[in-house]
Parts: sequence; C-alpha cells; structure tokens
Amino acid sequence: MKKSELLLQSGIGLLLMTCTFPQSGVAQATYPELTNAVFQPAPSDRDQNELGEVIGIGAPGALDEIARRLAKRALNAQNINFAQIGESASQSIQNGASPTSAGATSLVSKAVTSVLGIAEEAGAINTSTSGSTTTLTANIPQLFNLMGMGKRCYLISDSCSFGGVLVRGASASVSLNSSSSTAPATSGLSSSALAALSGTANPVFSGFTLQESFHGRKNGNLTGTEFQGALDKMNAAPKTAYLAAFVAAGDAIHTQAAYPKALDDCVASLRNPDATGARLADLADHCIDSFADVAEAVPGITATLAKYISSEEVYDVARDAALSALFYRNNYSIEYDYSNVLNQPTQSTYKLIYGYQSKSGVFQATANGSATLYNSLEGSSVSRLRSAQGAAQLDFKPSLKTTLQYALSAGYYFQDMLADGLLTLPSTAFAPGTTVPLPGNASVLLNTTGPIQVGQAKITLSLKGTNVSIPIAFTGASRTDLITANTRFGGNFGISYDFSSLLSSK
Amino acid sequence: MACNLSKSPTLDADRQGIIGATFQITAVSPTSNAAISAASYGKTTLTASPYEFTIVEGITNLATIVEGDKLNALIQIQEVCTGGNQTLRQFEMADPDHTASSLWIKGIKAAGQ
Repeated sequence: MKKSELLLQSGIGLLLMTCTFPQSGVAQATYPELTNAVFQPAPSDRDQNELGEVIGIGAPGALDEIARRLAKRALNAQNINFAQIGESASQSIQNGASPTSAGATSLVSKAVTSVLGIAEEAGAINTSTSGSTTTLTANIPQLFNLMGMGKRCYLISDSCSFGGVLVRGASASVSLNSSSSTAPATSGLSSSALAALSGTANPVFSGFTLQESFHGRKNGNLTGTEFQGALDKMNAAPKTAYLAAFVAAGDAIHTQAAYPKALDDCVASLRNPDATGARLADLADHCIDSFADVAEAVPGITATLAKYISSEEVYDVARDAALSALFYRNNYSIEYDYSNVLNQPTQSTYKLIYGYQSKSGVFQATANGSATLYNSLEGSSVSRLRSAQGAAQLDFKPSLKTTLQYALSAGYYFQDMLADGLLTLPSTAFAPGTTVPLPGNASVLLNTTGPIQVGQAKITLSLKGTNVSIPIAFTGASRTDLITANTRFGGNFGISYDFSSLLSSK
Repeated sequence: MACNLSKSPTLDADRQGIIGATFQITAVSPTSNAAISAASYGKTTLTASPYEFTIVEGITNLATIVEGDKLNALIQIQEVCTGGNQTLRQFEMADPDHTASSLWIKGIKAAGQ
C-alpha cells in the first residue's frame, strides 16, 4: 500500500492538515491557555478543578490538538514526509502522464488525487457535478489554513493584513467536461493534469472562474440580541452534526479508564512547586501528550476524530455565512470567468458585483455588471466585445408576528448583444440543418445582436412554524429567441418544502 | 432559579447537581458580544436560546458551541441564577474555528432520594 493511500484510508491526512502545526513548544497554542488566571496563583494554590477544566479534553481546541498529535505520531512512525507528497502532486500536474493512458505510471497522479481528496474532505475543495460537467471549487482561505500559511484573517477579525484580506476573499473554480460529445474540442491543457483532477478519462477543460470579494466596514454596533438572533436563525443541521461528532470524540476519550489517572497526574504536576515559567509549558505539553496516549488506545479514534474535524469545518463555513451579513452590510466582488464552450471561441467575462443588506436583514439589494469578450475572432470581422450585461435584484422580507408570512422580490436583467454569435464548426461536423459534411474548420455568424431585457416580480407566501412556502412569480422579456421562455409575459407558481428541517432535532 | 450546579469534588466530572433539577446556561463577555450557538446535554440538543437542561443520572457531557464577535475576547459560559450568574468555564476566543467545549456534569441523588 502506498503511503498516500494509507494517509487517506486512515483519515490521518485529514487530521494532520486541519490542525495547525506548533511553531515552538506549547506556548503558541490556543490550547491550553497558559495565560489564564488559573495559572497565576502559586502552584500549590491553583484550583485543581479549574486546572482540570483548562487543560482537560473538554477545553476549546483540546480535541483538535490531540488529533494533530496523533496524526503526527502516525506520520513519524511511517516516516512519511507530507511535503514530498505535495511536491510529487505538483510535478504530476505539470509533467505527469495521464493515468488513463497506455503505459502511464499512475504513482504520482494518485498522489494528486490523494492530496485533493484530503483537501476535499477538509472543505478546502468542493466538487459538484451537473450533467457531464464537474466543477472543483477551491476554498482559498481554507487551503491556506491547511498549509499553515500566514496569519488567519477571521470573519470576526477587526484588522487584517492586506494579504490576509486577499486570501479571505479569494475563491477559484475549474469546470471539466467528461462527455466528448458536448465538450469543446481543444483546451490546450495537459490531459493528464485534467484526468488527475477529475478522476475520469479524457476530461476536457470547459472553464475557470476567479473571484475576489471584499467586505465594507465592519458593523461595530451590534447588540447581543442581534448576535444571538443571527446564530439562532442559522441552519440547525451543521450545529447538531458538529455537536454530535464533538461529543462522540470527547466521550470516547473521557470514558477511558486511563483518562482520570492521566488527568490526575497532569493536575498534580501543574501544582508542583516547579510548575512555573518554561517548566509550566513543558508540563502542560506533557499533559497533552498523556491525553493523546489515552486517545490512541481508543478503538477507531482516528475515524472518530476525522469526523469531528470534518463536521467542525462544515460548521465554521455555515457560521461565517450566517454572521457575514450581520457584520458586513456592504460587500463587493470582482470576478473573471474564462469559458471554453463547444463550437465557440473561448470567451472572457469580467464582472463587478455589489451586495447590500440592512442591519435587520429585512432588506437586501444586489447589483452586478459584466462584459464578455471573445478571446479570438476566428478570422471574422465581428466585434471582440461580445456582450454587456447588467442586473439588479431587491428582496424584502419583513419580520411579521402574523401566521401568514410573505417575502417580496423584484429583479431586472439587461443584456446587449453587441456582436453576432460566433460558432466554430470542426471539420468533422455537418453544416447546420444538413447532412453535408464540412471540409474543414469553419466559422459561422449568427444574427443575434440586440438588447434583451428580462424582469421578474415574485411574492413568496409561507405559514409561520411550517416548512412549506408558495412562490408566485410574474416574468416579462423583451424577446424570446435567446431565452428559455416561450412567451414574452408569463406567470408561474409552486409549492416547496424544506426537507433540511427534518434534520433539526429541536 | 437558584444555581443548581456546583463544583465536583473529584476530577471524574467538572460540575455536579441534583438529578431532576434544571439549569440554564448563557454566554457573556466583558469586551464583546458572546452567544451560544448550540448546546447538547445527554439526549437533548438545542440550537436556539434559551439553553435549559434537566440534570440526569451519571456523568454526562454538556457540550456547547460558543461564539464571540471579537478576536481574543474573554468568553464566559455561565449558569443563569437568581441573584447572580456563576461562571462554569472561561476562555479566550483566540481561535474562532475551535469553539466547542465540554463540561462533564455528574447527576447525584438528593438526600433521601
């Protein structure tokens, strides 16, 4: 079994990457908090219960630290150098042969898959599939966190370095198409790299997106009620999953017969006369090691801790999403999209996005503008500026005490098609609407210029205390030839049920 | 209500209380907003305030997820009591990504139970 596979199968890689390495000794760690008032009295005067609470496995971050130590022990025991695996991964993306091609060596590209798998489990990379398109989205802040690079710029941080702000707001995604019938003909990228990324044979690159988001000024006048209210309204599922995994891991160690003795010994050592200064840090470090010894003897602890770490990551992302709107009313994003569409020249889209949310969350506004350019004109005289778009949406959801609740929404979209559609038909294709094969690559202009305007008004009705909502929408469009609607004006309604509410235990 | 949790005399639990008594917890901070995001005790999991539980027999994990809105703020988890809350645990919000903590509570029988 290869080391990278072992890492994945044991879950050790996940544990290792989700915990920050210590820089020196134990003083850098947020657990245990040696500066806590518990340690300020003379050693013999320290309260043993308080010492137990601060150093024991119930303290914030304690299980994460134990997980990190277990992972490091496992890696040391197997002489695994994680940096080497990462380097192999990088080389395989640039130079490696496709694992699906004949005679290829799959060693290094499997390392790529392993590293990506670890990152994916830790929430640093998300994969979604729609039809034959697979999209990998990188959570850049989480990736930097996994690699232990730089000082974190948390959502609640009042001041961050410029680099920290850039990392916090960055995201990137790559789309790959695994269907040769609908995929663009060429991408210019290494097929081996794409295969390693997607895990499928002969995928084709269909686009990527880079986005950088910035917050406006942090709202510094929050009340406790607003803060508690935002957390109360947060989806219950990530909370319950996080708590369940945390309790499972904590109880697994706490119920071990060896744990009370380890805690007893630890507390006694921290009340010894020499438990001050650097010696105190060493003793605390030894305490944590002794707890890790206890944890190591628990059957299946690696999987239990891996589940805890994973659910913690999911919770953190959901919490930041819930609190972001509370802290920051104004949000800005810049985005670049590169699309490699079937039978069309590649296109670049530049987009600006603005979002506003009122303090109470009752009113939201979103606006964006973008421009799409052809990256190549395929020899035609068409304008390089393909189109310009603008959109705005307003949402109003009053906080009502009545049983019948409602939310209003209005949106408007404008697109000006400045250049005709440009299709590139490959030599293997037929002329449109015929069975006449084309002799070679050909460019076709479609008469698609002109403005498109689409507007929609929507009201969503719901009954307080239920998970059923009824959206009713009216839509109008200035033309229908390039949108999916059959008529210029129409209405629709539906009934939706929030099944995620079934996961809430309350 | 009066405080129903007291310090455990032994290290096998952090706090103890009479079986059947209830307790309510909250989070406070002298320098920032603080709030409980979720808490569980025994078979009860709550994801919105108020966080009130009934003490059960045995040693049971009271797990809480507590959030603050300022980095490095001192956070206290308190039992809500008439005449003044008592602090069950305090810590610095040094790493907002690790905000879960446990207190093991021992349910003991009242005299005559």
